Amino acid sequence: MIACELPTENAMTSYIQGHDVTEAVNISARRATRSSVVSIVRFPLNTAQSTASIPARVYSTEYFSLYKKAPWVSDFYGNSKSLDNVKSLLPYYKSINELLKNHEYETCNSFLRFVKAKDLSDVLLVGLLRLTSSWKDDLPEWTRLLSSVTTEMSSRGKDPLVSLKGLI
Amino acid sequence: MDFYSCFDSDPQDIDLFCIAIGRPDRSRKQQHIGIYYTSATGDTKFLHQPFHYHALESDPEDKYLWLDVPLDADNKMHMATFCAMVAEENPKGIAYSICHKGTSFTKTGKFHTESQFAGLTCATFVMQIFESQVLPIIDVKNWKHIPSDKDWQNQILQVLVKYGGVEKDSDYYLFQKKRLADGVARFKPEAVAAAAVSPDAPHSPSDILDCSNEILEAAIAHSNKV
Repeated sequence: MIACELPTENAMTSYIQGHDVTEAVNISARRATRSSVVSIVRFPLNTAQSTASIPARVYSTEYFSLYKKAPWVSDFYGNSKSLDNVKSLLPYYKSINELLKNHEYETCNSFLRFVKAKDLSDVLLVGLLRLTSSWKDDLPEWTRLLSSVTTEMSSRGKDPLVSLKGLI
Repeated sequence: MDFYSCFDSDPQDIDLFCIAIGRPDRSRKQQHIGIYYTSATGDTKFLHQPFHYHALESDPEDKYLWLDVPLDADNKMHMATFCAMVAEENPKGIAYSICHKGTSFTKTGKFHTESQFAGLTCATFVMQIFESQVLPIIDVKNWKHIPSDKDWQNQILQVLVKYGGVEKDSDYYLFQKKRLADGVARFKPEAVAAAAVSPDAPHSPSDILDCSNEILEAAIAHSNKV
């Protein structure tokens, strides 16, 4: 198992706060240039999923906090465009539900915050919203996601009024 | 309306998520409803509420017809994934009850009840699968109970005692009796099937009466053939 080590949230924040970075490249670069790291977060890079496509993402205190609590989000964001069947979707549905089951609404809200509608598969455009809709009052980002999904659906030639029936 | 059966189709060829209905026991004149869905392995599975704390998932059976639902492909795939999750989250099954009020799968795919003694029938189970994903098929508020509902509900209570391990002096049983006396609407499997396969849901009883009768006739005819 190859693991890339990320500096802790505090160590990283002063260095990268407010900057857009591409995950894989900059993680490796930062690792190489920083040696006085107090503790680490393991970030597996050698899975087929995680190396498939890693998009640029805003690194922030919130993202690091989210990643520490729910490491699967990294794979999700990297592969969300190709998650379009039961086998590939089910593990993430279960992970999202685990957050909700444990009342980790803040973490789930952070997860939704970093979701970009344009990076979602057609199924996830409807699935994420339906799956989390019961908790939308606890998830302020749900409404933003609904708005961005509606726009994205239209751009893909889908009718949001049909696909998102009951949600809008 | 297109009915599919073992005589003309293979349940392995379903379109991700559909309704399955049949009359499993010809002598009992009772329909049973569930969902055929494509599982993570790619095989079609039957998700249903068979009885009090029985496993929710099994293989498709020849005794059931299946009907397509008016959802787009993306929503069908989502519902199939949700069904897979419900099966995994409730490995020991769920309570069988004539009182479905306050029940849901909204809490993490795991069955949840606000009332300790609530549960689902096969029909309300299917309703709640849709409802939990904000795709309600039945207008519950306008679905009134009718006197003949009590006959069936009384039979169910007897079956729960005889085969479900429910004691007659248990709080569970007494709760059911009280709700029955108060009047609880019954949702027949054929009506729920009709609601699920008819566009523009949610439906009131009058919306789906003809469709419901057609499904009932088809289920009976199929049970006589199998």
